[in-house]
Amino acid sequence: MLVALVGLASLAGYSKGATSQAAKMDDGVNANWRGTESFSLTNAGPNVARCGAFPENIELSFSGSGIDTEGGAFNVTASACTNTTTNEIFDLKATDTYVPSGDQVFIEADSFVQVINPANCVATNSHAVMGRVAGGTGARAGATGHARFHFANNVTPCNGQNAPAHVWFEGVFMQ
Amino acid sequence: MRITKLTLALLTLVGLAAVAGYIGGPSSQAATTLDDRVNAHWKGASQLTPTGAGPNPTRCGPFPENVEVTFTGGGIDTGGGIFDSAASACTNTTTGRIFDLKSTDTYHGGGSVLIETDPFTPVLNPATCASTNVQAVGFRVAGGTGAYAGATGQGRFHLASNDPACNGLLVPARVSFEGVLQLAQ
Repeated sequence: MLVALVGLASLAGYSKGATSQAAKMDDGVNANWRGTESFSLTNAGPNVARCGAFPENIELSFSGSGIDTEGGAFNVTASACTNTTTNEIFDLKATDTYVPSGDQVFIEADSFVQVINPANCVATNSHAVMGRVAGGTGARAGATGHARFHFANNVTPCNGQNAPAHVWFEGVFMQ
Repeated sequence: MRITKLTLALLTLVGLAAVAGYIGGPSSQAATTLDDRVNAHWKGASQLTPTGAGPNPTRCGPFPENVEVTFTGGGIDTGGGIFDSAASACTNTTTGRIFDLKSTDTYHGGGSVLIETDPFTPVLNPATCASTNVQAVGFRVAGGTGAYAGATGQGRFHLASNDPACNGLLVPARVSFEGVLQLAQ
C-alpha cells in the first residue's frame, strides 16, 4: 500500500508538479541531455579487421540499461576495441533503445585510455570523453548531437569481484 | 562446448590483459589524489531501487503529505571502488520536493561514507516519464567508518528516475556524481 502511495505521490507530481517541457529549447533540441547507465561484459574476442592484431587488441561487447532525459529508460548494447598493452579503448559504439518508444540512438565515442587505481581496483577516464550521436531510428532517425562521457568500472583481476560498469554523460541532442 | 571453452579462454585473456594493464599500465595514484587523503577527482555512479515508504512525522513532517522513502542499490566510484548503497529521504507528495536525503555507501573493500544532500525537486517529463533534477544537487560527506571515519567532502550529483505511474515501468533510479573526498586519516 505504501509503495502504491509513493506511486500516487509520483502521479501527484506528474499531475501537479513541474514538467520539463521548458528544459527543451524547442522540439528538436534537448540542450540538457544527460543520463546514466550501467552495463556488463557479454563477450570478448578477436576482430582483427576492426580492432587490429590479436591478442594485443580485443573486441569487447556489453549490454545494460539506463535512463536519460531524451527518451527515458533505455536498454544499451555496446562494443569497443581495447589495446591490452596501453589500456586504450577505441571505436566505442553504443546503441541505446528507449524502452517506452523503441526508438534507437547510435553513439560513437572518441578513444580514451583508462586509468587504473590499484588501491581500489577502479578504472576510469582521467578526462571527459567526447561522444557523438550518429543517427538513430524511429523519432530519432537522423539525430545528431554530442556529449561528454565518464566511465567507472571495476577491474576484476585486481580484486576478483564482478560488477557492472557505470557510464554517465551530458550534452546536446538534436533531431 | 567448444564455443564455451573459446569464450572462457577469451574472457580469461581479457582478464590477463587487464592484469597486464593493472601491473604495467597507467595508474591513477598521481592523477586522482593530491595526496593520500584528498581525492580531488572523486566521481562515480550508482543505481537505486525503492524498498519501502511510510510515515515518519518526526523526520519528514505530517503524513500523508510527507512520506519517508527508503532505497537500496549499488555503484562504483573512484573513492573506494564498488559500493552498496542504503539511502532514505523524505518527499513532499504535494510539491514533489525531496529533502533530508541521506545515503550510506559501503565499499566492498571496507569502510563506508555517509552522504547528505541538499533538497531538490525533480522535474518530470511526461513525454519520456523520466524525472530528473533541473540543476546539479549539492551534497556533503558527513563522516564514515573504517578508513573513511571522519571523512569530509562535497560534490554535485544528478538523479534520473522513471516514474512508474507514468508508463508502468519499474526500473532503478540512476545517480551520478563528482566532487572532492577528503579522508581524516
